[in-house]
Amino acid sequence: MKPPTVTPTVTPLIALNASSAHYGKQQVLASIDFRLHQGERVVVLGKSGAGKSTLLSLLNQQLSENDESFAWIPQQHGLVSNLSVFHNIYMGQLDQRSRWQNLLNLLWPQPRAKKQILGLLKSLELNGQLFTAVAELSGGQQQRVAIGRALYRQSPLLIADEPVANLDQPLAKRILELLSKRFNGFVLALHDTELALANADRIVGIKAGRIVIDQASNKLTAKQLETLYDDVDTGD
Amino acid sequence: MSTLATNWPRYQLPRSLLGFLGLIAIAVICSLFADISVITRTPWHEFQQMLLGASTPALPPPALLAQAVLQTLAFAVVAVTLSAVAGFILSLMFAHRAVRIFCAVIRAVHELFWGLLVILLLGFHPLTGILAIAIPFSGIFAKVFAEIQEEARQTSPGNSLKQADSFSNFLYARWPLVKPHFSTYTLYRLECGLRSSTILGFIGLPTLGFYLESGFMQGDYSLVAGLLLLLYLLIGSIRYWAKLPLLPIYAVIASLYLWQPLSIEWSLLGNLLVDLTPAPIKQSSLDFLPWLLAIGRQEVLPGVINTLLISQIALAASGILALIFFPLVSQQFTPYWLRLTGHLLLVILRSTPELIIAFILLLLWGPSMLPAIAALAIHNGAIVGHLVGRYSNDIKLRRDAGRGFNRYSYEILPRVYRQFLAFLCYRWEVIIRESAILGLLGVHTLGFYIDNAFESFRLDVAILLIAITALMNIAVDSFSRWFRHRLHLQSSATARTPC
Repeated sequence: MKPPTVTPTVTPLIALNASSAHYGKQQVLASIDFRLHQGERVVVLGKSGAGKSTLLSLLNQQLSENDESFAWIPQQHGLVSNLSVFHNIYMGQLDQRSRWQNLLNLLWPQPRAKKQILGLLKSLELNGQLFTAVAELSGGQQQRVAIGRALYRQSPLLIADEPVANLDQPLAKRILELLSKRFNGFVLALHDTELALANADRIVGIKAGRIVIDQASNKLTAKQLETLYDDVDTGD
Repeated sequence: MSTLATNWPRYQLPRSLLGFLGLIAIAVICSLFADISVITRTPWHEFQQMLLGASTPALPPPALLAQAVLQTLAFAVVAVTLSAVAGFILSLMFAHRAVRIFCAVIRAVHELFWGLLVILLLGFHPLTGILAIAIPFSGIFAKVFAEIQEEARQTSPGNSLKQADSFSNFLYARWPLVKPHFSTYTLYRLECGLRSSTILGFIGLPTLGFYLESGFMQGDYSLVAGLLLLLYLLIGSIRYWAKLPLLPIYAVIASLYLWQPLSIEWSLLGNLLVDLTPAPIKQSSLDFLPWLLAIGRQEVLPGVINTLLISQIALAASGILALIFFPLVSQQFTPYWLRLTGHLLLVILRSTPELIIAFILLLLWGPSMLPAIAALAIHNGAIVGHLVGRYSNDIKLRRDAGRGFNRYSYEILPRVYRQFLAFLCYRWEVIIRESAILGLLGVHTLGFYIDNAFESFRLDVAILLIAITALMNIAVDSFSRWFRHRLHLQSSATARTPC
C-alpha cells in the first residue's frame, strides 16, 4: 500500500524521502516517506517492534540537523534518577540559560525556577514532589516528570515515544489533553487506538517497518486501525 | 499560587554531597595548620634541568640496568604469587575474627616499613624484598578475595549444591563465579607489586628505585627520566606477558634467579630482640612512663598530627582533581584522539609512585608539606579519575542531552557521583599509608620519625612508631567504612583496594 502524498504549500518541518533504518544488519524501517508540517498533530501506531521508536529517532535526527527547537520524551525517559524532580524538569531549559545560572540552580534551586516548576507539577498531578529524588518515584510518576521536562522546554513541537504508557487510562487521557493544549504540534507514538483517535489530526500506522496507513484521523475508524495489530503480514 | 509562596518546599542538599563538602571543609581547616609554602631556592633553574633531563633520557650501563630490571620484576612476581596464595588461604578463614585482625594489622604496615624491619633480620638478602611486599599484600589479597566470595554468595544464593561437601561445593558452585575476579585482581596487583618493588630501591634494595634515588641525589635528571620511562614500559607491558596460569612458572624462574644461600646468625637475632625491647625495660629502670611520654610528645604526637593534616588535605584535593581529570578520559566528553592524550596523562600520573612525584616536587618547591600533599593528590586523583571516567562510559544519554558543562554538571556528575565518592573513600586508607611513607623524604610525618629511629638504631622506638602507624591506618579504615555506610556508598570489591 502506498501512502497518499500531500502536496505541501509551505516547506515541511520534516521531510523523509524513501528513508530506511538499520539495526546492525537488520533493516528496521524501509522506504519511509514522511512529511510533518507546522501545527500538525500526528500519532504513530503499530505493534511493538514495528519500528515506531526508530521512526521517531529519524524525526529527532532530522530536526536536530535542521536546528529546529523541539521537546523530546524518549521511551526510557532519560531522567537522572538521583537528582530531584525539580532538577530533572529544569533540565528542559538548560540550553536556554547560562552555565552559571544552571550551576546555581543545581546546587541551590532559585525561587523563579521553583515557582515555574511548581506550577507545572500541579498540572501533572505531582503535588508535593518538587524535591523528591526521581529514583524514589513510581514508574507513572517518573513518566510525568519526563513529560514535565518536555513541557518546561516551552517549545512548539513535541516528539514523544509512548509518553503515557505507564499511566492508567483516565490519567493518560488528562495528560494527553494537557499535551494537546501546550504544544502547537506533535508526533506521538502510542499503543492505544482510542486515545490516538481522540488526540490526533493525522494517524500514521506502521507495520513491519513500513508505513501502511497515513490519513486524517477523522477518516479512520478503530476497526481499520486494528489491522495494524493483526498477526497476518499484509505482505509487500 | 500565593498560598504556595508562603510554604514553599525547602531544598535540602543530598547527604552524599554534604559528605564531600564536609571533607573539603576539613581539608581547608587542616591547611590553616599545615606548613604549606614554596621555599624557592632556584625552582626555575631546577625545572629547566628537569625538562632538559626529560628530553634527553639516559639509562645506566647495560649490565647494571639488566640486573635492576630483573630484580624489580623478580621481587614483584614472586611476592605477588606468594601473597595471592597466602591471601586465598586466609580468605577462606576470614569468618574468624582473629584472622581478620591479623590481616588488618599486616596490611596496615607499608611495604617500606616491612622492608626496614626485615632488613634488620635478613640484611639485604633477596628474601627481604620478597617478604616486604608479600606480607602486606597477603593481608590485602585476603580481604579482597573474601569480599569477592561474599559478593558471589549474595548475588547467587541459590547457586549452592545442597548435598555436596563444602570442598566440591566450592569447586563447582563458587570457584567458576569468583575465578575471573580473582584473576583480574591478581594481575592488577602485579602492577602494584612492580611499583612497590621499585620503591624498595629507596631503602637500598638493588631495584630500579635504587638508581632512581641516586639519579635524584646527583641531579642526573636524564637518568631519572630514562628509568621512569622504563618503569612505565614495564607496567604497560604487564597485560601482554602476565597471564594467571603463567604466574607460578614466572615465580619459579624468578626464585631461581634470586636464589642466594641464607644464613641467619642466631646471635644477631638475640641482639635484635634485645634492641627491640623498650629502653627502660632493658635497663630495668622504672621510668617507663616518662620514656613513653617523651616519645609521645616529641615523636608520636607531631608525627600523627602531620600525617593526618597531609592526608586530609590530600584526600579532598584528590577528589577535586579526579572531578577535573575524569572528563579527559570519558567517552561522554572527549573525542577519541584527545581521549588518548588524556589516557596517557592519567597512566603516567597513576603509574608514578607518590614517593617519586613527591621527590620531584620537593626538588622544585623545597621542603614543606606541599610536595607531599601535591604528590598524593596527583597520584590518587589520577586513579579515581580513571575509575570514574571508565564508569561514566556505560551511561546511555538521551539524544537531546546537553553538551559541555551542562552535560558534565547535570547529566554525568549526578550519575557517577556516588561511585566517585565510594572510590575516593577507598583511597582514604591508601593515602594515610602513603603520607606516613613520605616522611622518608623529610616531611615530619610518622615515617620521618620511624626513619630517624632506624638510623639512630633506636629500634624499640621504631617498632613502637610502626605499631602506632598501623593503628592509625586501622582507625582511618574503620572511620571510612562508617562514613561509606552512613552515605550508603558501595562499590565492587576489586575497586575497593587498589594500590
